[in-house]
Amino acid sequence: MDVSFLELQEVCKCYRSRRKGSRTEAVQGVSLSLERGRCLGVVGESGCGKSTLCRMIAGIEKPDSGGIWLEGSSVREKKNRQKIQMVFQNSLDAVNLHLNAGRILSEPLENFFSMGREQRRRETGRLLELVGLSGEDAGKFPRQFSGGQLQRVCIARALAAKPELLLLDEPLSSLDVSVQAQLLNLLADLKREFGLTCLLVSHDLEAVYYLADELAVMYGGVLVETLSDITALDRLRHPYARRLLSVHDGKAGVERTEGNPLPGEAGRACVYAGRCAKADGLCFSERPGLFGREAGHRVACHYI
Amino acid sequence: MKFRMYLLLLSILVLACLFAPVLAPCDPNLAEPTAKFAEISREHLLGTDYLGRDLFSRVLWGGRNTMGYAALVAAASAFLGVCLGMLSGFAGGLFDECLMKGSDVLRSFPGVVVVLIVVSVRGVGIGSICVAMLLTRWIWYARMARNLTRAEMGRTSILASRICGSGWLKILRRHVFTAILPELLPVFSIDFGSTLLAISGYSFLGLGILPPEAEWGMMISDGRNYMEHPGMMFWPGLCVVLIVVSVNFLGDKLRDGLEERRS
Repeated sequence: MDVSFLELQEVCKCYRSRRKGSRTEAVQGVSLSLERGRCLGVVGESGCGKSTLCRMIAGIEKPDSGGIWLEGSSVREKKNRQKIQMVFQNSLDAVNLHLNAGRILSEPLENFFSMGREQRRRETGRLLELVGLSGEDAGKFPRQFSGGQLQRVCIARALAAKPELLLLDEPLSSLDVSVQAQLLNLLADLKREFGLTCLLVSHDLEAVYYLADELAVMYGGVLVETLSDITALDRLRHPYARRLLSVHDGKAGVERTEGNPLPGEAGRACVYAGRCAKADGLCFSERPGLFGREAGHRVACHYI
Repeated sequence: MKFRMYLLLLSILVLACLFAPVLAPCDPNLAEPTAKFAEISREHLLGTDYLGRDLFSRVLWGGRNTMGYAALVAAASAFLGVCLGMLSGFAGGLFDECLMKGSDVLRSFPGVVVVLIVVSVRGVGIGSICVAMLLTRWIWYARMARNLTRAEMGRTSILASRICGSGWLKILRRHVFTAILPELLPVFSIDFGSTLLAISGYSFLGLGILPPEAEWGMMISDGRNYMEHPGMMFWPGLCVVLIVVSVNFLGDKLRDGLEERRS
């Protein structure tokens, strides 16, 4: 079968503000595919459309155009509801503060499996232990957990549905560094144990490098570079990706910040043209497509 | 400490009224013209009124009417208002707009006017008063529940719940309702108090419960003509005050308790 596990084709999403009449092109024509058991890291700065992309893949937001398929069927179909689960950025906002951990975890169990009360109780205990908490924590309310512990509860909730695709929408960004490391280890273990297919959205290249197999760099709602082997990070060519990389090495490159066209008004220009040091007339008049440079490596730039 | 005191007070009053048929020493409507305005005695624990009816028995039986109807109206309007408000906040759009505009229209009538209209259509009686109060009181719950629901719907937890496969009814029941309940409790307790006052008030005006049935507001109204025997006004009045104060206090404390346990 030549259908990939997860397939996105020319996905677009645009938010219109009714009051101001403005349009924000959150995601503009993103195409990518992901094979089963692989983990794709999507990096990009705040507001580049990563979270919107995530929500569309989860099937809770409808793309304006384009399609997203999981094993050949649209992710908005009911049968895919259970197969795709998601972990959110701010764990305190992602749970009902008035329910204890046990009830938070039983929600997907009730919805997807027919289990008796006793069976559910055992299953929530097992899930809590799976993410490194103890079964007794089931009686605790969200505010009694630390940030890292609560994010573990959220991961457990996502796993409760026995998903095939796990979406991680900046799961680490509201946590401090040592807790981030613990959770990364946990996610890596879980991924190995269950052979999960993951999509990790983050602005932290290091976290992505640790967990992901493939990399996609997003800027202004557009994929600017994809790399199917994340260990070959030094092959990144797009000026924005290079810059992300150099910031990471502690060497910030030159960047023009003035004249940054907002994605909405940029029209046909390259999304990065306004900030790119190499940009010239061509960049402002024509948006480069995402073309393969070598096997498993696609870049959207005129000058590479 | 205070909480226990109020709880005890309220339970004593409610239980006493609930068990009025057992506890009341006399028939509340039995007039004894020979024992008019009797003093407090073993036979008449709180004395008698201008027809020689036993005040203690009348206070107990009157409480059944007053509190019973107040609880009925408050519960019915809370149920109606919270359901509509949550639906409105959840659905948004045209439904929300229509419901809120409709409630604005209803709200612009003073409650007394609505009562008078209903009474003139259905006739005097406690049924009309209850209907009229229901018509105006659900609005507060609806507005409150709607706004709280709107705020709650913006949280990621609702998205998370959808991803977990929950339908809208489950989301409303399990996530929205549990979250807004602590905020609604004090509204309910205040509303119960004011409903009780209103029922007493309308009976005082002669629009509610009809004589010879006992009812606190009507008893106060009767007592007004016999100021030299203050017991007739004092005992039912005291009961109204105690109930309203303790219910308001308890509602407030209950809210604090719910919030505290979960934070």
